[in-house]
Amino acid sequence: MFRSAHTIKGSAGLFALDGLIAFTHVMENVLDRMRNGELAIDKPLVALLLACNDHLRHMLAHYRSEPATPFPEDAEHRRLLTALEAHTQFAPTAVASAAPCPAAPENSESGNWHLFLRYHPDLFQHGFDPASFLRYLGKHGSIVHIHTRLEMPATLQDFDPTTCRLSNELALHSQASAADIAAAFEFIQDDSEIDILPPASDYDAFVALAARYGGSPETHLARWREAGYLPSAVSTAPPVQAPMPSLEAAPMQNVPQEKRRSVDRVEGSRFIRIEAAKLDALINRVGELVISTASSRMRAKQTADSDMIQAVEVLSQLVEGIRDDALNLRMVPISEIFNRFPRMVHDVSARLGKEIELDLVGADTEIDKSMIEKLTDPLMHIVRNAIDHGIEDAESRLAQGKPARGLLRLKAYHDTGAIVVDISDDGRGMNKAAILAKAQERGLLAEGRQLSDPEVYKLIFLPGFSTAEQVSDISGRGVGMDVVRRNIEALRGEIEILSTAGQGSTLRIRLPLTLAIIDGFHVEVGGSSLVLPLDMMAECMDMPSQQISRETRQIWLRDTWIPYISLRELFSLPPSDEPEYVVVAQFGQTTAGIIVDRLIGDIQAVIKPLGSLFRSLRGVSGSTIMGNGRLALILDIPQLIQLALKREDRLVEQRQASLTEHSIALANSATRPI
Amino acid sequence: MSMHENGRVPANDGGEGVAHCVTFVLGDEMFAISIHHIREIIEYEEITTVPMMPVFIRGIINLRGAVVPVVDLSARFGRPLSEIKPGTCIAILSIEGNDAFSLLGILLDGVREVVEIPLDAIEPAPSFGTRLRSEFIQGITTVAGRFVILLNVQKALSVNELSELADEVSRAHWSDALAGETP
Repeated sequence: MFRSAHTIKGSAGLFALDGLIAFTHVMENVLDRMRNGELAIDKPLVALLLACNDHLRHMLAHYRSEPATPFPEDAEHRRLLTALEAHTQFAPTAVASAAPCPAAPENSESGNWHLFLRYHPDLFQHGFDPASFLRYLGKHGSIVHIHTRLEMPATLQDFDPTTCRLSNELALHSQASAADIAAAFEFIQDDSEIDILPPASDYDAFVALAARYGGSPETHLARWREAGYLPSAVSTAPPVQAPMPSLEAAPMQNVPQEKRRSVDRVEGSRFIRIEAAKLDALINRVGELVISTASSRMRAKQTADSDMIQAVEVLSQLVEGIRDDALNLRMVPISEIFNRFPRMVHDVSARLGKEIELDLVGADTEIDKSMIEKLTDPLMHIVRNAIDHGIEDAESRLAQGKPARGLLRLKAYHDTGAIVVDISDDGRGMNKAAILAKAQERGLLAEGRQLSDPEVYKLIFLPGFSTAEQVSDISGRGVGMDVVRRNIEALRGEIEILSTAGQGSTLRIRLPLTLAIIDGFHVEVGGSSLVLPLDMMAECMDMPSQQISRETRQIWLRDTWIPYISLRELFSLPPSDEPEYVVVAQFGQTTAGIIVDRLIGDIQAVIKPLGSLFRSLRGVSGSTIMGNGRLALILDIPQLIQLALKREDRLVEQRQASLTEHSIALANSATRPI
Repeated sequence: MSMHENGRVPANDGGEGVAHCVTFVLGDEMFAISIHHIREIIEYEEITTVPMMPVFIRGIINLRGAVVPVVDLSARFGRPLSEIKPGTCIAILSIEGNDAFSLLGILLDGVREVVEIPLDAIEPAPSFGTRLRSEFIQGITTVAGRFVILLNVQKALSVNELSELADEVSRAHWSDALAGETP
């Protein structure tokens, strides 16, 4: 952060943007003090720095549009500057601690770390000051001895003041670990040569180091001996021309930084930036490949040539692998969204005067890149709602025996072929009565309808619904939740609300793993091919002749009744005269049976959208091209299960009503005088 | 009434004063469509039916990897569904929608020929006498002594109108299914 501020300041200097320089300079001072540990990081300071960040952005935008005019120093600018300056009152500088500390034991040969810093010539140009590293080192202990070397060029003409020709050799008395000490040089370790010898390094280590130094190793060793760096125990001069650093000593001191360097290198090479369109083209091509492989496979089977069949089998397995790899390319960690939340939660909760702890779980869960953008807004909205409406203020929380700090958790995970994102808070929970009252007031609810809890919660997704008594600038305009639901449904996802009064709510968003290619299961109804997403299938079985209630469309599955849907019935086809099959489909916690004519088998389905003509079609989510080139419809299992469940409720209700009527009629006829 | 005000059919008659049209038979009537709308004409192939849609939407076909809906023009005009006969073919049209062109197939009983119709030989749609909504008709003419109806594709196959009709039917179907009634 310090470095960024510094870079902005430096670059602003290049273009003589004085307002920017002045501001970043003050900011940099504060950051520098934080870095040196002189300033404790607390909430107001963090808030201030975030505000400064925004202000900087603001200033940059200004200079971008009107580079010639100076930035108008508005009230915000002055406020931030004053606040920043309050933090820049320099305490006795850290440089003081870099001076030899009297309490430190004398130059004991075993107790000191020895650091050899040969700075990169471009160090100054990169915006670093060697003194700052030494000052930082002072935090870890005391510098017992320091020797600064300056290499002057042979002639004065060659002297360039911007080139760093310095190197430092120092003895540090410190209890810190090698990693801590190495961390001081984190920013420059890639360019500069930093060698750290731990206390009690043996003579060989110094010899090896001297060999790596330029010039004559003997001179270096002599200098170090004079400074008291060298262990006195070994005096016999070992071979000076050590060809390799000694394996025991040298690698050990180099471990922290070497490791770090290699990690950096890995980080650097881990990603390649690719244009999204290229990736989409690849995935389309892979889709075509999958389809034509399926058709080759079908043809090979028709030839009954076993070698051919085997060859095509191998091919199709490879294609399956390529398909997975290609789809994987589009997967990115959900942290791309999650990372935006700490700042947003910080701002919103500060504005509302609530203390909120944000807990992000499963940020490395992968999600299709194309979903990221479409998911961000709905999530933002839900989180804003949770902070505004869900979590109570500190007083009422304490009164209820809850910690003053509200907890907001975003959790992402994979579950039965779906990606689930839970947004939970430990706030007051959904107010059922308020939701019902509001729904009635807005005429969104038919009188006398009995609703289950989830049905009540779902009312908030209706357009124009908002229960917040006061509309704040954060949420409460009631334009949001129906948009949220629409956005989620556009991703073929689903949203569900779990809530316990007084204990908080969870909004659960369930999204398909991918939008492009799925593993499907091929079935037939009325001569048409249909595909179900395989990961939503629990099992297949023969249509039972017993343990089935045709009136309420329910099947007894092991220990419970589940609703079923006959696709023939749904598609207005005549009933089948052949035995049918039940596919038990599952989505989240919901289960339903789907009755089909025939079960065919596994299939890879490249999802092709149906187009605008079919935009209102429910129960079908898309189509796919089969091996024979024909299209098959892909069933929308979540919608079908929802349909089955709702219809089940209604049918059971009707049946009970008619049974009651029937029994009343019976009772009436029984009591009627004959 | 000039056709130029009415639609885009004679888009590039190029001063020759003729409209290039494809004539086809539907039932016992002869129709014509400007070739500018026609992307290609393919042999009939099996159409995948899409349930819960209006009858005039026969289904979808795979046109070299693209999913194209197929409309039964006869049913669209409120007549019985077309029967599949040896001469049946599918004309793939490019229809201008709100923001993009979309492909739409229409089921035809048989394509006759590509003809040049002189613009001055095209009469405006009669307000009565045809069994077709007059807005669907671009004009009428005679080709080789036969009465031909020049279709206003933009109106007869308006993406908006077709989608709205489809919305209505599929929504009604779904809510019937929800209510537990056998649709």
